[in-house]
Amino acid sequence: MKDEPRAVPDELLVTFKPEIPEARKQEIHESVGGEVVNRMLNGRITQVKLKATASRKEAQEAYASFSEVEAVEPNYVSGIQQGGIETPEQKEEDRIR
Amino acid sequence: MTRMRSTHNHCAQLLLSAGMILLGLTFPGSLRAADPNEPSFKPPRAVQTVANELVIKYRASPVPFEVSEGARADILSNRAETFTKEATRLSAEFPVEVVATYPAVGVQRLHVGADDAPDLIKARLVLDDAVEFVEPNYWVYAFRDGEEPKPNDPTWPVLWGIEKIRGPEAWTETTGSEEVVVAVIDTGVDYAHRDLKASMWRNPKEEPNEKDDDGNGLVDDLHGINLCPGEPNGDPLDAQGHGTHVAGTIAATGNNERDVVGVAWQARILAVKFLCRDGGGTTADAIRGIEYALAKGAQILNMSWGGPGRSRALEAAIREAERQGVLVVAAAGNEGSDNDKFPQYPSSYQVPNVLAVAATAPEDQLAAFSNWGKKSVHLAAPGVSILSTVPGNRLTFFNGTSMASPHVTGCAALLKARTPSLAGTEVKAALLSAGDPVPGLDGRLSSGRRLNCGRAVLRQQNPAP
Repeated sequence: MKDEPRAVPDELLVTFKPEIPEARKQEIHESVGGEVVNRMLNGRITQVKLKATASRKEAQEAYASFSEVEAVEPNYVSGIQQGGIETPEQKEEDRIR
Repeated sequence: MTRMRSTHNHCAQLLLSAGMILLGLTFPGSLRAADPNEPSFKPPRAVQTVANELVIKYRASPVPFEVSEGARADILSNRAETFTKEATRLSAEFPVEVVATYPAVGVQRLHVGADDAPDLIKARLVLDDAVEFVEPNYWVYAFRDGEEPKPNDPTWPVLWGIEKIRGPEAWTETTGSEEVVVAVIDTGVDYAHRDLKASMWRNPKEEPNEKDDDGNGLVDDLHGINLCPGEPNGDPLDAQGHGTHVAGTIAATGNNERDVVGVAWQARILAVKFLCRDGGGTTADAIRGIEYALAKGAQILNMSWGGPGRSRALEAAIREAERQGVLVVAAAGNEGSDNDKFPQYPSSYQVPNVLAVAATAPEDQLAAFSNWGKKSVHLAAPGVSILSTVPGNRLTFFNGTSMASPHVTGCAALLKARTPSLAGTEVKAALLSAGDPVPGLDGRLSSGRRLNCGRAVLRQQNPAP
């Protein structure tokens, strides 16, 4: 079993279904307590910041309860894919470097 | 040329090289690829043409095979006469002389007396029904005795990865094109690195004047975007090193007697910095980086990063890239695990334009750290002891599927240079089918193959005109 993916603790990415009016999206954000930080892909995806006291899990569930929301997810953190060690000898080689 | 015949020799050589690089020493003569007494492969940085010459291709039916030698000679003679008449007509308007006529292929070589005349002649002949096309008389270059070109960059003997994927064979056809823009979505790029600066994309709508000339909200985004500081800016300078290393494998300047060589020497690198000093970055910034790269015309996106979180939003951005015909090359990950069971994103998105890349070592074995996946990882490429550029005009060796991906990306850039109309999914298919089957990869990767760039480029049937 792998660890839970890392994510920004107080942020969510909300993907709305197509053709949802901006005013309705704003109502939903206000209802959940999410502050819009960025809009992406022509406004379809919104990056929201949650209030410091809010639970990310509860906010995620609240967004998911709206039929206008296609997906809601944590703002995951990714990392570089460099630094693998091939052999013990190479580990020593890297140490020498 | 020094070849690595065993892992032992290989490691010894790499150690020697790495130590010398860290100490700021140059490589000794014994490691140099180029003998000063031998001719060296020196392709031009840009297309070169013979001054004041044009080549006209007339519309002409092929001479039938079944005709007799005499009839064939008559046909060609008549055709040459027709071409001469055309040239005579042209000479009434422009200062042209026929240098040679090749009636069998319907081509005539003209000398043009005035420097500005070639463009005028081309404009005039485009309207002529008898003319199929007009083009400059291009210079082409012989490779030494039919050998594959070996660049004179001093570290060439240790760039085993590019040799393994048959880079030199690909270079007999193309070393890339500045029309092909590759986005390195990463920690940024040291765009001032002496072996990279000539390969950096330059925003054509932006000037270094502390203004937002192109109106995209970024001041002086000459080479890309920086998403790390919260509020994005136009300076994607790499402070970490990873992105600069990736960029060097893709497009470091070749045959400049300096540092390393990239797979696609003449491609252009657009830097998107969203992985910050600690090597981490968020999905939201990755999406914004993809949006920027697509808006600026990138045709290939290199993503040497990942994580286990499956984001539908990031997938949507990648699908948008697919819609625009853009290829996404993504590192499979370095956990030494099976991505079919433990997916890593973006490489594990089941989107047709995503090409997931595993890493191999010099003897073609899957690297111990490399992730694999019979369904979800497609192709392998060299990713162990890869020498490339790092900030501050330095070079160093890195391991990782991060280092394997840019070999594939560079090769994709060569294919796009040769055939610009190829969609990302077509480039992916060409790379997969041309790979070398490797027994150790069978059952580990969907193709069971390691990249063979030479074969991929040589197989292309419809090179760009």
